[in-house]
Amino acid sequence: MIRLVPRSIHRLATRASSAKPADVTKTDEKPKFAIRSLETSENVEKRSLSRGLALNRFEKDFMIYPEYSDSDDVKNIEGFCEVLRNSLSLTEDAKKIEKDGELSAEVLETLRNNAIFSVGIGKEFGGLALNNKDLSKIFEELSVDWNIFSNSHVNLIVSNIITIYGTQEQKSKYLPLLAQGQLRAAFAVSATSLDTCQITQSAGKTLLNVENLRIVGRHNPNFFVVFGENNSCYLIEEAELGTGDKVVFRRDETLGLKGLDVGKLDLTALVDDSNILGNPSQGQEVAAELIGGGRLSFAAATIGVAKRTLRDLSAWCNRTPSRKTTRSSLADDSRSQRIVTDLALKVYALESAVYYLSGMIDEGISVVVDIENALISMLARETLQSMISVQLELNGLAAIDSNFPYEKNIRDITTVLSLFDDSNDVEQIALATISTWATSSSHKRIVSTLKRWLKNEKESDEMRNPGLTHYIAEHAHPSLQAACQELEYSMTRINTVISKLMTSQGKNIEQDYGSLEALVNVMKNNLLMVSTISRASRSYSIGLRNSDIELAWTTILCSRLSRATWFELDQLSDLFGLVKFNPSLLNVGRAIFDLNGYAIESPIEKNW
Amino acid sequence: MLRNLRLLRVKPSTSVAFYSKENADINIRDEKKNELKDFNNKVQVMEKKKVGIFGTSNVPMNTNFPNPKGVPGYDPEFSVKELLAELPNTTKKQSKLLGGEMRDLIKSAGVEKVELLEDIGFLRHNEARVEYKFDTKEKLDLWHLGCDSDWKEGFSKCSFVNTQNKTGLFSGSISTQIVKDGRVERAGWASIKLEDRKSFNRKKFLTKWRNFSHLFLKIRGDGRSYKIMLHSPLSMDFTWGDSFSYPLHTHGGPYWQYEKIPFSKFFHTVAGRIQDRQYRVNLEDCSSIGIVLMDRIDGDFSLEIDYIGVYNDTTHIEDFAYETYTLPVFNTHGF
Amino acid sequence: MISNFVRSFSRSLTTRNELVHVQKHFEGVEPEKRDRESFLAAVAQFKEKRGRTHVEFINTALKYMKDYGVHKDLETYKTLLDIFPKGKMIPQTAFQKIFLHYPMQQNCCVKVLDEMEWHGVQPDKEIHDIVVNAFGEWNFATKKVKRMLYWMPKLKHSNKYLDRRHVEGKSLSPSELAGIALKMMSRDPAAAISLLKLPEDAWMVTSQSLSQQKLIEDLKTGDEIFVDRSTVYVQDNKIDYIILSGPPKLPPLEEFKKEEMDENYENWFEDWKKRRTEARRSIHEQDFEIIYALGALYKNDNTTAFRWIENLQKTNKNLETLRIRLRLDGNSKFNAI
Repeated sequence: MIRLVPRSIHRLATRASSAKPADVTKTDEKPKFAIRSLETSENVEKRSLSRGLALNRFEKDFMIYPEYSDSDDVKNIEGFCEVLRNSLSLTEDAKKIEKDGELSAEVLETLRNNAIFSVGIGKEFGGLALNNKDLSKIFEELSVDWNIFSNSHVNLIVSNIITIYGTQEQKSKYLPLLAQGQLRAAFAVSATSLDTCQITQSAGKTLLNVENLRIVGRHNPNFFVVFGENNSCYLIEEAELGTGDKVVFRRDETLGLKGLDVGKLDLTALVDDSNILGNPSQGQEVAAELIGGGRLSFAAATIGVAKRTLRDLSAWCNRTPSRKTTRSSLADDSRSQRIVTDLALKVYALESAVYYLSGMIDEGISVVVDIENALISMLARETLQSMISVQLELNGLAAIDSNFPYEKNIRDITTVLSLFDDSNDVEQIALATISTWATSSSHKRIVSTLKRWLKNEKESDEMRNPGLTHYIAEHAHPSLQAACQELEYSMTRINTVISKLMTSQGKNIEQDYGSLEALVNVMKNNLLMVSTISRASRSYSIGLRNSDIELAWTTILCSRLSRATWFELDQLSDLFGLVKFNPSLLNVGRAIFDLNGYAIESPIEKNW
Repeated sequence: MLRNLRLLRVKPSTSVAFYSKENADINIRDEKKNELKDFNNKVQVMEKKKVGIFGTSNVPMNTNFPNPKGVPGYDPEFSVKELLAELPNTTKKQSKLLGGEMRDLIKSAGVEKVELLEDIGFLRHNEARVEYKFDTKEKLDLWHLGCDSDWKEGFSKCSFVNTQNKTGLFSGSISTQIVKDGRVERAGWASIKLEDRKSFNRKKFLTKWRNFSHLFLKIRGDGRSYKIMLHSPLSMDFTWGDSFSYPLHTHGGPYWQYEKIPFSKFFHTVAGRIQDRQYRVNLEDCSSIGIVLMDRIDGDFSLEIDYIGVYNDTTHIEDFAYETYTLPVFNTHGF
Repeated sequence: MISNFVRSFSRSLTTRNELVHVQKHFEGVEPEKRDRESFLAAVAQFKEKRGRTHVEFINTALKYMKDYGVHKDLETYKTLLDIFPKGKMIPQTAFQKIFLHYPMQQNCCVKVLDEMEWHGVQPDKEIHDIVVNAFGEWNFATKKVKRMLYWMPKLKHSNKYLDRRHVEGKSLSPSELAGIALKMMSRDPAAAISLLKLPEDAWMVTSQSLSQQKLIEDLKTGDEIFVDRSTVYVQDNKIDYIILSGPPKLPPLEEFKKEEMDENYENWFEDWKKRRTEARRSIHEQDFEIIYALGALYKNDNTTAFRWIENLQKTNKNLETLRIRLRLDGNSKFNAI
């Protein structure tokens, strides 16, 4: 069969008009990871994938999986990663890092030789300015040891915010030093809290004063990113401190990630406007961007770790004799296969989504990726948690034996999960979507009960048998027809449910955490479905190795996710007739906090 | 395989290609020895090809064949004496086949017609059926053997025999050396083809397989890549070369290989050439299976086949694996 | 380097300004010096003169490609196709589009592409662009390139047992090839492939898994065990390997279970539990032999095989008690009838 044009050319033709490669560096300098509202009601589906899907609008360009247009680029990055992998395997010594509490000199040398610290920094400041796909691939390799990853990660996100918010002198001052690894950054934002420093202003100068400020950063930090009470972000370089300023850092002992510094800072410093990052009172935004900018690389590192875990697990299961059947290995047990299925599907979905998102950003078109970014980091967290449980279930005693490398993984993963990321901000994601939904489609609150009841019948029928309107299956490989249909059904259902919720509740939905959470789950599933379908379609069409396995996995994944979505939405739409139980979700948690714990009486308690 | 040759008890028979009588009914292998002696004395290379009406062409069309079999030197005329001599043999074979068919017809007249049930969807997951086994010589006789040296287009050798393990062994050697007669550009192939006919030379279609999802083979190869072809020549002459092919990769070694090839992956070829217009294989049109070796590597080969059958995998929902794209209006797809 | 060749060619061949037969370009180079650079130099020299004879030149070049060893090199095909003049042969009128425009050139281009396909070289976008620039978007030759671009990638990785990228384009030592072959043939995912390097370029590769080791342990003293040899192909490399096998202990496997429609549900649970704990048959216990190990040697004769067995004895103690029959050399009494 003759092809019209090779697929990549076709893609470039449709995207080239809007891609301006010269502008890519400029878009790098715009904040893109903090969740914000998107008012443009026209063509929402072209600007944001998740919002468009929630609105039941489909844009066919999103079904094209982004890829490198030049095969040489692929060879370059793979060669780079190969070199990195080999040099890391030579120098990395996990036990030494744990004992010393820092990355060894050889590892640091390797990182410097491979220019890891400069990957996120623009060319004019001595960096490599790699695009996101390259970054994801590199961080997949770096996650061979979580300590190595987290040190590079800290560097990446701090250089990211300086690139976006910094003035020209700040950039030229700090970025080259960061690129060489001489500036070791630490920041005062954690997953759950934003501690601020006291500010005293006097005569144009500001005094920052804080004790026991919790910071996270590279070992022996000499560059601090702190936030003031006045909602400003300050950059403090230890070398620049004057006399009378004091910086004392006390390191804490952590369960894992022994190569990363987590500790408390005592800071007293006299700063002026040149230390402020961005505009004054932009602190919250900077903090959000700081955390948000690291999500993609975090997810990429998760993928790397998960792939290595799967490889180790398969070697382990193939060689361990099964307890249930003689002369057969653990790999033949259905239970092991089931457990690993879940992890493998999660990794596949996460990998598709991460490279989809990075490719999307690289293409340079004006696509808003904030929601997808947050969803991906939720997925990454889920995958990490699932990795721990899989290792416990399959490796058994070896998982906790210090002679095996597994227990270090578990410790490191738990530490990482506690430190990074706050993306589980369900309310923010859901409300951003719904507000776009509200502005884009006209609806009115229906107060009359009768009208609501009549609409109910029609809507419940639509939930069960949604029709096909977009015919997504035409944009993917014909063998993925079933998966595409599931995606369409999911889109129709979510639209129906949101409209139902909005008509009955309006703005009160802000307080309905249960609905918001269900909505976010559904959006996560949608993103996964789109990225896996487009990836499998591309792999199968160009004939990659094992692409028929990809097709099978995508079909399984989409059918399961679609069912899960239907279930969630069905729960939400059970409005009329039964009392809505969703608000009671939060009541239980509220009760625990109010009553100072679990206040229910023990079952054996008697009353008389 | 060299390993299994030590187990051979049966003398390998050579391949035969030149037919001068109606072939399917008669056991030709013994008869041919006499004819071969005659043929070897004539000069075969540089033989003038019979020209068709529209000039010389190799496309499998009616007008291009000098005779219905498409074989140079095929002479369907034979004397009445030879006919009468053959008659008892033919009648015996045909009546046996016919009798078998009548019995099948009567047996299947009951409600339990297997295909009807399968059509409804009675076929469960993991169901398989073995169609062609290779344990006895009669089973092997259904398969015809051929290679390029039979057509004087190359120097490969092949043979198809029974082994002690009740399997069939297709072995020989491929040579890509070209016969220097000016018309042959490439050489080096060998194949076995199923010729399972009903009584009176009627074609047997693979309709029974239409509800199964995979073709199932148990083979032991040598690491070379063979090609499975499901031939589907129909009555129109431009369909005489139709087939659906897919590569059969073997991993070699002493372990048996259970190969499941989904029917959705077979692509449409005519005379071995992949076509532009692709569609899914229709098993009701297919009447024969062939296994070909044409991987352009000089050397010995051996393929041991235990059985060929079908397998059903209900999770395989793919209809056809090769997507088509829209083309400009006046573009010829070719036939 | 290429310009040196070109200069030497020009001097040797055109000193007297006579007609040079196209073949001389390639025949003129001695067999030892025939390699990629000399081929490209010959092409470059032709391009300099820019004659009208590019069809003949390309046809001749094709004949010599294998001789010069460039038949699997994509860049060479690109330079060869580059010889066609660009833009001149694209059909302009409808009449030209219907009939094969510039048939000799198109057939010549198809021959080059055919040669590429025969040797398994995959074209890329650049070749497609070269041919499109020469012949137009929807012409006979470009249709061939489009077909190749569609089908070759789809079928490139259809082999589930061997990853071509590990073998193609790499010059692998015999032991590495043997390792790849053993990996392809070992169907047990737990098989461990190990390489033993001996002095003087000698090597031995073994593939054995835990279940095979267990099977050897279960053998009784005095049981016979055979070492045979065979060959396998990895792409176009023929590799000899050896098999350590023994007579089967279990009856041939009933591969198909006939489905019974009326099932007996008494004692279902106990039956199921019993079946579950029963010993499962491993993939190494085939119908007519049990395979205990696979291996490859640098030299296939009985003495080397004996050394291989000795190496195996380190991990399989039971081998010392068994009677080992080495059948690698042709004169063993257990050989072919």
